[in-house]
Amino acid sequence: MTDAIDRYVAQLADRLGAGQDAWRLLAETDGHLRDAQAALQVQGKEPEEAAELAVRRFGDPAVVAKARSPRRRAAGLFSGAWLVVSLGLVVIGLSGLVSWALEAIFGPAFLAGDINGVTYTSARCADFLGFFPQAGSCAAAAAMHHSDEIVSERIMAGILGLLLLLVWLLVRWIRGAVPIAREDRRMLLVASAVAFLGVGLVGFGWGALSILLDVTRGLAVAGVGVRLSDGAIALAAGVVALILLARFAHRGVAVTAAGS
Amino acid sequence: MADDRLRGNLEMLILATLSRGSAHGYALAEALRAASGGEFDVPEGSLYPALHRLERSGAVASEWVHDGRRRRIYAITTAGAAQLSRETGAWRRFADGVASTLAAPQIRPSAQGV
Repeated sequence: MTDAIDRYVAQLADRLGAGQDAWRLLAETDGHLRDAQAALQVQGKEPEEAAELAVRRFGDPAVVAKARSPRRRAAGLFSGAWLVVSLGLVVIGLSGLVSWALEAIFGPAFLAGDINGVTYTSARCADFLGFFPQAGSCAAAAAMHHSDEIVSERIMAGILGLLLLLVWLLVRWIRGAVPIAREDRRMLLVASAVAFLGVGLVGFGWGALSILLDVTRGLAVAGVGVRLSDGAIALAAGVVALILLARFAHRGVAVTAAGS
Repeated sequence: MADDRLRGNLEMLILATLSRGSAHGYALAEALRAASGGEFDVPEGSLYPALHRLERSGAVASEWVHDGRRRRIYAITTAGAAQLSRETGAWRRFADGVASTLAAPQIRPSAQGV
């Protein structure tokens, strides 16, 4: 049976991201450990020794948390993965906006022009010029076509990400936050940091190297905006993931130190 | 080994202990340890997730009581008693099967050999 205070504490625990029933497990754990400590003191143990023995008997926090509900843990991992995928798609959408800006500033050839030496069949050129008759040349029409595809597809991915994020927030609002196990949170943050930083370094490095090679060979810089845009945004997202991971690790250390 | 076997039957043992009277988690852990003569030394923290699962399934009910310290007292329900009866029957059949197998006579080699 619960009263208004129980319900309030449950809601607060939910808002803190612990899940509505976590507060009860914590309250029972605290009571259990105090009972065990008192019983051990009656048997002659010092308070500190009794507390340590009580904690040891209770078991590893990771084991207790895992025993709580494997299905619930899976739901937490699913929820976390959904959030990461949604944010990943939003990041792709942001790179679409950056691509669009690069296209507006430097032109379609900078964003998605073909590398020097690429040619098309006359039929394919006719296709490109059919889409963009104002381009004036096959290469310019191809660049405009590629740019158009890159910007629109990335922005569509971003819109899909926003929709998925909206669904995630809606489910969280209706059903309450599903807590994500500490190990799973760490895994998702590591995966996000590695993926974003990897894509960012490769994309940005590729783009920068292409510019360098084109300039040193005296060629027109073409098709590098697409790499620079995804690289820059992915690097920014990777740095954010890295900061979150560092904060997560630091918080773990702080909790351990406070507990010792 | 005993711990592994215990984990698979923890809920049945909790229900069996609660069938002898309501208890809070710490008392339940003590009763389990005492009843098994110290054989079952499962991490006490594992009891609470199991109790919460049993409560969600309707096998136990609980309420907070204040006796100097706030404690959650658990009691077996009618559904829990029925579950205990089913699981006890299944366990006894299993245990009898294991006992019969362990006590079975030596296999005689066939005439043709293998």
